[in-house]
Amino acid sequence: MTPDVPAEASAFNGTVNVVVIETSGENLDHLLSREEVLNMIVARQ
Amino acid sequence: MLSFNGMSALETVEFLTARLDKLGSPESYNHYAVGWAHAMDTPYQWTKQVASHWGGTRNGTIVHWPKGIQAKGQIRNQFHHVIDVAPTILECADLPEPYMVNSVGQVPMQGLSMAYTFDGAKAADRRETQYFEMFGNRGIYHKGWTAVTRHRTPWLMTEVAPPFDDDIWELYDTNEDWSQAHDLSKQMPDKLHDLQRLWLIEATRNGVLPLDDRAAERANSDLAGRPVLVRGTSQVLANGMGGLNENGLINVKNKSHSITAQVIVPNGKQANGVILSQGGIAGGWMFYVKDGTLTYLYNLVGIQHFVVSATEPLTPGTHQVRMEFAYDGGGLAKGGNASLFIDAKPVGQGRVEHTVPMVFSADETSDVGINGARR
Repeated sequence: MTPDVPAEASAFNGTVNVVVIETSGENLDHLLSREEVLNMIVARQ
Repeated sequence: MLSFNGMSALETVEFLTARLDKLGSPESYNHYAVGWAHAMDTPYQWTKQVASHWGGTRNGTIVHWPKGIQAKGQIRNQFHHVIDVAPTILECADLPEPYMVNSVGQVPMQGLSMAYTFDGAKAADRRETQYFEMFGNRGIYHKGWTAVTRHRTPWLMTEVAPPFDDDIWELYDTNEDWSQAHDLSKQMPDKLHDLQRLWLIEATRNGVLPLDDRAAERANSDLAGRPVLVRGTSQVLANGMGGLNENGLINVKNKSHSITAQVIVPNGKQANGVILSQGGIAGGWMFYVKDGTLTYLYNLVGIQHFVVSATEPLTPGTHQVRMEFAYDGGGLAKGGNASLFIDAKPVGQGRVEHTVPMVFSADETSDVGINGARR
């Protein structure tokens, strides 16, 4: 991803016990047109 | 990846010329250019995304089974579809179709075995009908006839597709015209209408409707609206997990998110290496430690890298490290502020001016404790 950390030498030299990813969970429907939202609703039925 | 993220306008002659030496190397996505793809599909029309026409869609199949097929070096011309491969193998292996796998009920296979053709060169076709649809391009095959319509051009990822009702249908008799060269739609409108109706019936039966002719947006599960492997707003990854494709990780695009990890830095050593990464050269992000400095790197489709570094070192011992990304909001591909924390103490902040809206990478994975090479 970057020459600073080449893939072959990228292993963490300690221990990564656990990683948690959290997202805001915000509703992204506003990025869709009304027609697209309708299509998604129908497709999910 | 630029096209998939709606940035194809960046790929000017100057842009590509400056990267000419990287074409064909691990630093490029080695894809056939449209011209070559089209040329190699000759004499058929179009390319594989245009499912209506045979270009890239209709391909020869080699079947090799010396102990089971008496005929040697022969050609079969019966029409079949890729969904017929699994039923063929099951029949040859004398196995029943599985109705339950790992306690999950299976959708019945709709394919038909091709085994009858192995020693039946002149056997009548058993697959008489097959529908096609991809990005709104659609077609139907029935008893040698095809009715087809190209809805959009595959390499114009961000073009606004026309209304489906404006699509122009073509009709071919592939019994006589195997390369779909002579459009008979004007001469035989009733035949075309029959096949259009058949397409609609098959599409309804197979869950094709409602048609979705978006292109780049369908790479992002939030926008596509499809079921996802990882649901909810959080995901826990353990040491050793890796090789996760983009859909194996919770979707962090176009929204605020955080990465929190518990790490142990050995005594007497300077911390180095990746905590968690997603994507790679084509685009992605990486949360890592470089010479003791906690760092967050955001790779904007290989064009620009944004780096946020901690102002204090990550010392030996057990620590909680965290990156919080506060998305600007207001649409897709906006920027955000990235903040770093060590044991809940703020240790750095920086700016990511733009983000990847649709897809980081097609083949670079997510890995805990390493940035894996392409798999």
